[in-house]
Amino acid sequence: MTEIIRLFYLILFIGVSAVGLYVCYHILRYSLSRKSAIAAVILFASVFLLFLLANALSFFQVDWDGLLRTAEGFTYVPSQYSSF
Amino acid sequence: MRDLSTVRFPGKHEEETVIAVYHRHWFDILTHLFLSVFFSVILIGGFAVLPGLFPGIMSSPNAPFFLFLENSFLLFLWLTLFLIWIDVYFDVWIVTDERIVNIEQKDLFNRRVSELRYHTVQDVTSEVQGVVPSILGFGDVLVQTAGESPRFIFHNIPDPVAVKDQIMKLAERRRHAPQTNERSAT
Repeated sequence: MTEIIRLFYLILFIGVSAVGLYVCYHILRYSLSRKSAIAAVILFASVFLLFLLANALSFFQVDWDGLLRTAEGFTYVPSQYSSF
Repeated sequence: MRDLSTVRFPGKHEEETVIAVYHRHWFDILTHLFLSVFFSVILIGGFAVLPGLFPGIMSSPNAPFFLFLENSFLLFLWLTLFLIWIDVYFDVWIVTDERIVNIEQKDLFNRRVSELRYHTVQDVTSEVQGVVPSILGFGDVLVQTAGESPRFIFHNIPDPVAVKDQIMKLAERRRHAPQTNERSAT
């Protein structure tokens, strides 16, 4: 199960990175002034990279197996209640 | 004061002089960004306040999961903020000595560039509607033309009356100028 979660996260990570790259490209390509484009890209990319890195780090700190076991404990299983 | 000589846009002629560049009014941009800013404030406020109110949160075994969720929200908010900003701020109207160029960013993958020559201008109207636009002084400028697209609209720009006057003056000047000066007609 953890592998599936990691695979989903990888897809999400690539997707978000691609959107971030496209935002940078868009600002650089279509901005009317080169100076303000560079300033906007620096602002966007620095915060975006910080969040992305923190996101990846916090993802790998999560004990997904433990979390799923906890979640299973809260899951409604009909067979448990079928005796009465 | 913005240096207009450095302004670049697709299809700019070498001798063309940019007279003014108009973006939407900051309040209009802010209304588009409102939800993202609102949720960012709530999230950042949550980061600051919740551990103080519920000290158990950070010592819980699931604390990394909550941190991951919070971080993911922040990441998406930051992306959304810039996507909306691109959508709104990149709507631009460029007034040059030859023409008016409208670059309209409909979404990230949809962009429209249209232009208007002064000799086609028939009538220019400014329109300020509502309480906030009246107080802050922003609104639309509608340019009636004889061309295929009958109306050219500057949406929610600052000081629409001054812009209307400026376009009228440029159109008048172009109308009275000798035909040989119409270097951009080809």
